[in-house]
Order: sequence, then structure tokens, then C-alpha cells
Amino acid sequence: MNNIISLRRVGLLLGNEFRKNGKTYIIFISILAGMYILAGIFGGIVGLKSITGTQYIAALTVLLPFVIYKDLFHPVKGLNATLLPASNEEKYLTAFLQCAVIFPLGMIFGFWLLTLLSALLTGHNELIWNAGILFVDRDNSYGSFSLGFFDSWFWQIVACQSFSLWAVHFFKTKKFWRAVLTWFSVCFVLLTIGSITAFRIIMWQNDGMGFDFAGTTRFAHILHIFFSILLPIGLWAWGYCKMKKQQF
Amino acid sequence: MEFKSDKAIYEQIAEYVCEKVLRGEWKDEERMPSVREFAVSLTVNPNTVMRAYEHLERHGIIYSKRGIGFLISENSQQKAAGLMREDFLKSVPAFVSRMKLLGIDFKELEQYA
Amino acid sequence: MITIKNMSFRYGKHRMVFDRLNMEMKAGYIYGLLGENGVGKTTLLRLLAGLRFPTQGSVEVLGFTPSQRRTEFLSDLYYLPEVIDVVPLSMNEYAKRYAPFYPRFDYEKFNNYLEEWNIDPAQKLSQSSHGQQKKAMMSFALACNTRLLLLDEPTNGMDIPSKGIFRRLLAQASDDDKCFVVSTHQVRDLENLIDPILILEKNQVLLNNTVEEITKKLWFGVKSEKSDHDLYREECIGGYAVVDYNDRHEESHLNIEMLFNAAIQNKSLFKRMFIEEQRVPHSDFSEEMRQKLSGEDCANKERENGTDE
Repeated sequence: MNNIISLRRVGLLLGNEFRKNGKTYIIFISILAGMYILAGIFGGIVGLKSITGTQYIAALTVLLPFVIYKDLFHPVKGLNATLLPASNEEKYLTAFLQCAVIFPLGMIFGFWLLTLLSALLTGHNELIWNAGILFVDRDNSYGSFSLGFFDSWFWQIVACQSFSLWAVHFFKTKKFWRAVLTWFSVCFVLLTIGSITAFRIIMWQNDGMGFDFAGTTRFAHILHIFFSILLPIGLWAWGYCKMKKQQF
Repeated sequence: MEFKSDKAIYEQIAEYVCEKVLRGEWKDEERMPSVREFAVSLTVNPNTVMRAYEHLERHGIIYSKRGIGFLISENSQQKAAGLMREDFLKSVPAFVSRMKLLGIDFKELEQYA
Repeated sequence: MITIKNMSFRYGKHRMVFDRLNMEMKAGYIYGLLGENGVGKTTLLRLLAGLRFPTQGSVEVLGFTPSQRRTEFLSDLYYLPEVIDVVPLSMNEYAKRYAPFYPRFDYEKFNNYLEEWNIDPAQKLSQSSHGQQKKAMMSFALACNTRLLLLDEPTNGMDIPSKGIFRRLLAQASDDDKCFVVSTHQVRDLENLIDPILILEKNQVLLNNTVEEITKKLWFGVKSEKSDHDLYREECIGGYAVVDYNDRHEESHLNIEMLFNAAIQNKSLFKRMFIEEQRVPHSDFSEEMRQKLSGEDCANKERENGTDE
């Protein structure tokens, strides 16, 4: 196992990725900071309070793979990436760590720092963002069906991103990128409105239709687990399998 | 190194070694460069140098010693001269037929002696 | 080092590139890979590198299956494609990022190569000329010290002095445990360096033999008259430059361009003469050398010992 995944190599790969994508990160952070600052300028303290960063971080996190992995199929760049002496596992792990762990955590931390800074500057301590709630169970209505961390905002965003990480290995045409942008905009709207899990939609529908309570909750429970855990893991695995078979 | 196109490269390399020997630049019992070293200096494939060395070894101009490599044999000058004579005489028939074609007499060649 | 067994490769459903190919390549040699445009030279290199997967049959390189893309395999192989990825990095930065992935990378040699070719290690690749880019990446490729080096049109874009430097550096880098496969159209740039010679044709291999084997069977030279016997013929001063059967058992200077033309004109003959007929498969360079130079007696003794065991 130590020859298949070496922390040293993953570290090297990550380092290279950060150096390569540094510009993208700076742009993304600037967008976030920019929104916050604008809200502050035009809305004062109330404005600053209205921006929680969650929507923007969510949108940027889901969008990230499409931006940094646009060269996966490039005849020369893709070739060089494939031939770089690291295992498929290490390469995919690097992608996962970069997109699903380091980036969102980094953005959350960065935004939290920003709110801290604004609190220090304005003296309004309530501006400091309570980022901790992002990692816990979002809604008490799940009751005994709560999946804990897997019901948190953080996991749900990362789960949405699994679609992006999967999609970048399958589509390479311009038409697709247009579709991506459309899809992204729709997601953005949905995010700003509210939750997007199908579970919620189905629950709402079932309640309205008056199905047998025990039956709907079990079905809903299954859907809940499917969309929250099985689907993202499936997409990550599928993307990994596709990556291994990519030819140049 | 530039090679002629009329003879196999390995033969030309063997000839080169013979010349060095005949001129006394490479002396008996002196160590020859290794196959790869020589190949690099001539920018040719090591296979070709290996054949040249085989050729030279067969004619007794060099010999191989395990652990050391190739060395120039005793009486190498004599043997080198012999090999080069053999080679030179091979080119004579073509020379003579050209002479005949141009109607040149052997007496005309004496002025070049 | 490389064993290809019954390998077939197709693009899509109809474009067959290799049909049940069988081939071996050994360590210690610099193979020249020749063939007309579109015949599959680049595809073969990519199959060896694991960039393409065979449709049927097997490819084994360095003891690995290339398509698995294992780290140990990738770190002992370098493929320099014809088109280079022009990154906005200087060679110093490039080495800093990518050399650590190659355990045998030699920094001293790397700097030496850059110096020989007059490449500024601090200048960004994207700001250099095409020729400079090529030489810079070639320096990196050679410095990786991998056991297998695949070069696709290495001298394309190099100026004349650089080609000479390339010949010298390639010869220097060659070693008993390394195998170089150079795919090229510019045979004159690599004359005398490549041996064995591989000629690819549509779906098949016409030739995979050393210069010695070729010149034992074929004769290259100038004849005053033409004959139906000639395998290939070109008019020249003094008569005709021909490729003929070596009936007189005279070893001549192999002319690669003429050899190529002869092969293309006599495809099935070449295949029969060089590929299909029974021949003792040759071994790694160091083994061959040991056998040839210890003389026939030693070789016989070894064979006897072998049967005793």
C-alpha cells in the first residue's frame, strides 16, 4: 500500500497544484471578499451581517473543478499529467483533497478571517461568522434519521461538488461547458433560496399527498441516504475509474 | 566523426584504429577505450564499435582481458599493416578497371611513385 | 525490456493500426523507429508508454503492463512527444516541480545539457523559440535517467549545431541498462547512431534488425548497370545506387534512406526475410557483447553447462 499512495508524492502533487492554480484561488477569494466589502460599503453593518458567505463559497466550491481541470483532455497537457510518475490513486486523491477539502476549508477560514477583521475594525463582535455550524447536522427535523456530519452544510456542498469532479472526466466539448454554466447558475439560484436535496422536495410532496407516514419516511430515509452519501461516493468512484482509463 | 559512404562503418573504425597503431599513437599493451566510450567519441552506435573490436580481435590487433577491457596486442603494427594491406588490395580491381576504361597504362603511374 | 505479443490496436471500430504484432526490444540499444506518415509510429510509442491500451494481446514494458500506470513503471520511463507543452515556467522551476518524481534524476547532467545547448535555465519556456523549447525539454528528458526513453521526432526544429550536440548527448546517455526508442523521419540526423532499425508499415512490422543483420543480407552501393534483381534503385553518377541481395557476402555501408525505400517497395519480401524467418532472438547488449567477445569456445561451454543443468 505504501508504494501506491505515498504521502510525499501526494504532497508534491498538491504543491504543484497550488502553484499552478494560485491565480484561480486568488480570483475566487477576491470575488468573495469583494462581495463582502461591497455589502459593507452599500449596506453598512446590516449589509455585512446579511452576507454569510455560505452561498458564495458553495457556488465557488462546486464550480472549482470545472475551472481547474479544463485541461484534462488536452492532447499534450493531459498526456504529461498522465505520465507523471504517481499512481492513479495518488492523482485522484490529490484532486479530491484539493477540491473537496482544502479549497472549501480554506475559503471558510478565509471568510471567517474577513469577518473577524471587520468585527475588529467596527467593534461589532456579532459580525464574526459562526463557521462551526457548517459542519453539523443542519436541520433538527431529521430527528432519529439524522446522519450527523453527512447532513451538514459542508458535506452537502462537497457532495454537490462530486458531480463536478465526476463531470470533468466525462465531457470535453464546448457545448458541455455552456451547459455547465447554465447548470451552475441554476444551482446558484437554488442555493440562495434554500436547500436543494431531493429528499426535502420528496418529503414536501409526500406530506402534501398524504401517504402512509411510516412508508414515506422509510422511502424518504432511503433517498436521504442515497443522495447524501451513496451518490457522491458513487460519483467520485466513477470519476476515478474514468480517469484511470483515459487514453491519449 | 564523418564517415565515407563506400565502406561499412565498422570497417572504417577498424581502419582508424589501425592508423593510430601504425602511426605509433597507440602502442602495444596500451588500454583501448571501452566500447561505449569509443562510441560516444565517434557518435556511433555501440553495436558498430563492438563489431569493429571483434574485427580487430579476429585479426589479432587487439585482445580482450576480463575486468580490464581491450588492449593493443603485441606486434600490433605488423598485424595492422597486414589488415590494411588486405583492405587496400580489395579496392584495386575497381581501380584497375577504371584505368582500363580510361586507357591509362601502368607506366603512367610510375610518375606518382 | 519490451515484449509485445499478438497485439492488435484499433482506433474506433475500423481503423486498424496493428494486427497481431509480435515484437521484442532489448536493453542497451538505441532503436530507430521508421515508417511513412500515419503508419502508427506515434501510436506504438504511446502503447509502450501506457497512453493507449491495446485492443487485443499484450504489451509488457520493464516487467509492467503500461496501461496500469503504476508509479514504479512511470518513474522509469520518459516519453517526449513531438509537440511540447509550452509552460510559462523556467527550466529551473520546471525541474523543481517535476524532477522529484523521477528518482534517478541527475541535476548535474541536467545543468550540463542546458549549458551545452546554451539554454538559460531562468528563462520561461513560453518565451523561448521552438528550437530552444525542444532542447530544454530534451535536457530534462535525458536527465531523468529513465531506463526507457521514447523520443518522437527529437530533432524536429533543432538547428544544425544542436543536432550534432544531440547526437553526442544521446550517445553519452546510452547505457547497458537503458533502451532508447527514437521515432523519426530525419534519418540522416541519426545515421550511425540508431541500431537496430525498426520499419513500420500499415498493420505490420517490416524490419526489426540490427545493422549487422541487415548488411549481411542486403548490399548497398553503386553499380554501373541495372538489373531486375535490384530491390531498389536510384540513378546516380557512376550508374545506379542500388539495394540488392548480398550475394557476394560483402559488407557495405548501410544507407538508411535507401533501406527504407527498398522496404516500402518490397514489403512482403522484407517481412519474410527479416521477420518471419527463423532467427535466434538477440539478447540485451551487455549479454551479446559478452557472448561475442569471449569467443566461440566460451559460448559452446556455456551451452554445454546449460544442458547439464
